[in-house]
Amino acid sequence: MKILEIENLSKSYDGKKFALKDCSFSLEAGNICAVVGESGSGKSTLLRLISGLERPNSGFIKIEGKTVSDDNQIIPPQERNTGFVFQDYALFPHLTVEQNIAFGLKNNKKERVRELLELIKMEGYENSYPSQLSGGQEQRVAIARTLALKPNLLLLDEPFSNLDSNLKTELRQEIRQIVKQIGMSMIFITHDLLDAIDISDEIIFLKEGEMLQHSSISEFSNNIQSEEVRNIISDLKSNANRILEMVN
Amino acid sequence: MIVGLFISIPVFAIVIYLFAGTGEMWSHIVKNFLFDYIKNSLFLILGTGILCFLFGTSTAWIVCNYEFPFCKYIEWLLFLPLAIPSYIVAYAYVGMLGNGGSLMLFLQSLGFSIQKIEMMNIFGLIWVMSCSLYPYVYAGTRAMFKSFPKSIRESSQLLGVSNRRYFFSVALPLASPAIIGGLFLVFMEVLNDYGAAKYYGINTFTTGIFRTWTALEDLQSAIYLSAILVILVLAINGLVHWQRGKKSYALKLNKSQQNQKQRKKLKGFKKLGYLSVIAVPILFGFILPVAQLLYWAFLTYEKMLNAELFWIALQSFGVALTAAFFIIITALSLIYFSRWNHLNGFHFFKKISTIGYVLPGAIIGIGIIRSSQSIIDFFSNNFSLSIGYLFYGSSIVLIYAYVFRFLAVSFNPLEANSLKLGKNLSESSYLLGISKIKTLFKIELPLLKNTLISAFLLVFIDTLKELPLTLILKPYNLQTLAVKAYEYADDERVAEAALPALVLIFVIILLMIFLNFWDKESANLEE
Repeated sequence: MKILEIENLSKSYDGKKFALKDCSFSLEAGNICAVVGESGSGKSTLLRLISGLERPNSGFIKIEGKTVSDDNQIIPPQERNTGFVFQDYALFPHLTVEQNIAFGLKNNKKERVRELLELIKMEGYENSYPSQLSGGQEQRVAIARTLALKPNLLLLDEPFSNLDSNLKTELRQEIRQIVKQIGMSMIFITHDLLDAIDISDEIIFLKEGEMLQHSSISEFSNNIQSEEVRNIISDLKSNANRILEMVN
Repeated sequence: MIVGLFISIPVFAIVIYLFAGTGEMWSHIVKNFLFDYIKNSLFLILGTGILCFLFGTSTAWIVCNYEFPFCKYIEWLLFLPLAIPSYIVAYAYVGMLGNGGSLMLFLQSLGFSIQKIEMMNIFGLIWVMSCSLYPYVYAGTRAMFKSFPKSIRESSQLLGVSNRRYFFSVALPLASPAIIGGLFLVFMEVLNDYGAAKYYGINTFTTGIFRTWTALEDLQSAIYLSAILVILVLAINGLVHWQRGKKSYALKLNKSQQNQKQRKKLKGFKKLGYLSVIAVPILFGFILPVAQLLYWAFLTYEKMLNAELFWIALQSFGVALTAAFFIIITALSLIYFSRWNHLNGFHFFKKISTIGYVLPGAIIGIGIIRSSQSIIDFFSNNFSLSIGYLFYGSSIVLIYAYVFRFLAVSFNPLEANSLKLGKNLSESSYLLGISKIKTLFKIELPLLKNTLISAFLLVFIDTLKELPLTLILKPYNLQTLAVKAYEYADDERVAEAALPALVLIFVIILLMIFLNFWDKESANLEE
């Protein structure tokens, strides 16, 4: 079953240059998909269009088979059953961890917060403020706050960019474990191929708003579909060789 | 240390003379007036605080989040009431709403049978003060709302939170340090006010201090009243610091996100409602008072537009320029002498000498008069020297008082920016064999140029508007626009106060425009 279907999705902010152009792909339910590309390639725009924070110029988006955005209608973000974790986590600094997680909940707040704190292994931090947490802990709280509303599709904007490499490795696996445990789907943005390879099932390459390749993680290195993807791979990180060795 | 000590004299004078016992009239004041002073001052603070909070936060919220016709200009217009001293707004209101007032006549011509709206009571004073002081809350709150990262708003939206809940649960608490800071300035201005309260016949601490000293001729009791007012000010100051300390949140600010904020377009009744919210403070705090002043100016300009007005304006600008010059010099001396000499205990004197901004002018005036008298007596008794003319016949004491009163206005931004520049540049210069003084003039001051100009203009504007301190300490032969406007109004010649008031307002608006332009240019250069 497809959790997400996108067809000919385009977005231009100024009416001249396209941030995203004719993007089409679908995501299997339960899969994790990494969107890889350089700055300005349209990664964030894609995520913002899926979540409903931006309106596309053309194309349609279906989530769980239901059209949430096309030429005639646009369903607001809060009704799409998606969760979004921002790059800066966007935790409310004046609220405690417990209040942050419960912010979008209407009932059973205590119980749900307890469950989520257990899931993210942060029991005992209920009364801490975001300023008292480490970067990794802040991110886990941001994910828990999003999971509180039980979304079926989780969207993460550069989730690992603010973390040091040890914490990154640990968190990547933790997030994968949480997503698989709950049985939801996830799309995340990264400019680090290692992040993509380590936890995702599918990978999308974007360049200057155009989708260059969408394939499963196991296939992509054997089936590089364009010279541009090959360039992205070699440009992306100084450890590209190490990554390719790992894959092969 | 000497500069700090010298500047701190008024504070120490009040503390020292408290031990000299109560004045002759003290029991009479306690019995008949003190309760009134406390009650009215607190009620004024509370009422003005509530209205300024409502005006300041609602307008800041609307201009930061919604798009409507001329929003860029309206955003700026909301600052303009700051250009009119509150005592001038107070006179204008009586002229509009009193018996035969211009607005009343206009309403009567439309068929309304209303004769007058009584403004000369504490509620009228609260309204007047709120209309002219709300920009203190608006300015900080607007800056805070603008600085929120876009992701904070969007994450609330994604969590299904309504606009109303976002405002009350997220935006307002996050902006609370700025709101509290703005309200603190409002409270200080309310306590400092003399002209409006005196004109409306409301007994406050400041009018009480003046009356005790001038009408009852009891300086010692005025010092006691000042001491009680200082305690009130310090209590408010402590409360504000405690609240701000508790609520200081570190937002992860992302500059690229701040500028992307999308404003919603307003439509229908909502547009009308929101525009009305914005129109109220602009209309009542600026447009109507200025219209009344223009009307009066039209009636009196033949008599008032003369060489004397020109001369008063020149004196006003001269005093303000001199004061601004000495204030900047003092601030720089405090910052750099302390940095060069690593003085122990300097922090204490720095705090004391910059406390003037939170002390009402009347207190500073009394502190200076009392300490001046002691110095005059000392020279007279010990050296048979008569130096009274130096204090009362010249503007030295007045300039000194302005330095004490407004030092913090220039000191705080200059210190913050010099700290931001860091020590590396100066130390590199020292290592190249350049002296400290030469480094100051060749490296540090040129880098602080923008802050110096902004601080100079701010102090100039504050000095130009100042009334209570000038009334107490000005020599007989000196006149300022603020004092002249007050004197005409006090003599029941309120229409004649319009021209000096308008000149004052016009100059302040010009300076505010220049300051705004300068700040934008500086920000662009820094980027």
